[in-house]
Amino acid sequence: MNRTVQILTGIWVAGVTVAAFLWLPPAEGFRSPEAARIVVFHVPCAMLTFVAFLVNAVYSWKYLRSRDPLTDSKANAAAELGMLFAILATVTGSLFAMEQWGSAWNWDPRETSIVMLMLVYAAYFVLRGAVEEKSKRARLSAAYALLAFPAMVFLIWILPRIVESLHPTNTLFSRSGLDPKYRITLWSFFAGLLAVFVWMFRLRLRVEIAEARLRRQHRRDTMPEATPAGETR
Amino acid sequence: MNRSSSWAHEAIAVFAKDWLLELRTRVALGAVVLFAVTSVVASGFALAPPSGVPAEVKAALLWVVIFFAAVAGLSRVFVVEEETRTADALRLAVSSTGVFAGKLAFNAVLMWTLCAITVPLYLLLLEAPLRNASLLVIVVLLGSTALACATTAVGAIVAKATMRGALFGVLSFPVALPPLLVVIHATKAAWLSDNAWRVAAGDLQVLSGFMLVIVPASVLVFEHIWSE
Amino acid sequence: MNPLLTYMIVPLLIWAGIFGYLFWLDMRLRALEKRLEEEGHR
Repeated sequence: MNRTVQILTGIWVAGVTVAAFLWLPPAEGFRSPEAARIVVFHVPCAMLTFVAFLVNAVYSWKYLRSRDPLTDSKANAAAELGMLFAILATVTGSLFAMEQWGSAWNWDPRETSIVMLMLVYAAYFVLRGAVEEKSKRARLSAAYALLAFPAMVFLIWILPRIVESLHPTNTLFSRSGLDPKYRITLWSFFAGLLAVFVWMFRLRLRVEIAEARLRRQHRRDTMPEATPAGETR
Repeated sequence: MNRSSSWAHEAIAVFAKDWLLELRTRVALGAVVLFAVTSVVASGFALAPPSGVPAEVKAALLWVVIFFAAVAGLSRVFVVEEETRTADALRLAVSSTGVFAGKLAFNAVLMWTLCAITVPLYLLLLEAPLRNASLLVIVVLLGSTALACATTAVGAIVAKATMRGALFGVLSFPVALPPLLVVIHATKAAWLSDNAWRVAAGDLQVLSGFMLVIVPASVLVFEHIWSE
Repeated sequence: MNPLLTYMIVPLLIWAGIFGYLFWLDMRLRALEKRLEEEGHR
């Protein structure tokens, strides 16, 4: 991403944020209409969590096919970002819950499922920490990510539909579900966050690549005679 | 011999070999059953009738006991291959699908044994209500199979890593969570509900659907975990 | 709490989270690049 795109992204999300205050009307029919507008920030965060974990699953699958270390780094970066957005979605969601439903945490199926989701990917990071050898770590964590993916789909798409929920279902894509102004703001914010996501993702990868280069350089410096078999056991 | 029957034969051979070994040493069986009996007795002692604990709590507790008992033993079947260094020989002799199917069958039977001991004991000691016994049998059977399906591939991952004991619990919990949530709901229905079959029908569907997804996913992924 | 205030906290939190993460990454990247350069000279 070059400078211009970064600046445009910044202007876009700043614009959407301002519009969410000045242009977006308070939501009638909620306990506190002013604060109910939180949904235009909260929902895109939750959607990006899903996108990030989807990206993680895709790169995990690609890794198992190609065994390319960079692909593993991409999967890891996506999982890390997914965690960030999951935290943001949870915090903004409980602020909304505090205003509308009277308490910050209600054990609503969607609240439960995002906590479970964070547990899934916390376990993914624990696994990555528990395996020394790089290629083995990549292989095992990719396999785990693909096993966790069906569980994640269950938590996000199926559980909230079989248990009573405070959250509405099917409002996002249906025509009657949402006021047009809300729909426009929400999706614009989603687009902005998506661009920010790409930005963060690439920066995260550059960190990873720099770390790998530093490690290679270290190995060359400390043991000049050694064979390049440091990666295997 | 065509391909499909060959992996089935391999699976049966792996299954028979593992059970023979297990019956000789009784490591997994002993760990799992002892864990379950100990926790059932302890909770029976604490929660016996005068305590007035609602049946909903008892349903959740039953499955928590079963899940943690399973965690004590389900990874054994892969760990033993790594510890005795027989994994390489198995890799050469048997296709990865055959190995997975055999190990999954082993774990499923282990889970059924566990439940056959734990559930009656639990019903007896905690005096749980029972409106619909036949539904409970089906729920326990499906639930224990689903837990085995969800955690077998995780066991294979854990066997390759360090700190196996702690790791298996951490890693299998998220994957086992969907069947656990559903099965607790269905158990409550079998204990309390008058039209239990109607209440639990959706749960049984989700449970079967989960197995239909997680087993093929595990088979696909297992090939990459198993081969060096 | 004042509802409008709550509403204002939300985007602030999101941007704090995102920019915090970005700055953290940037800092790590700079440190790494500096070390790479130093060790390259040696």
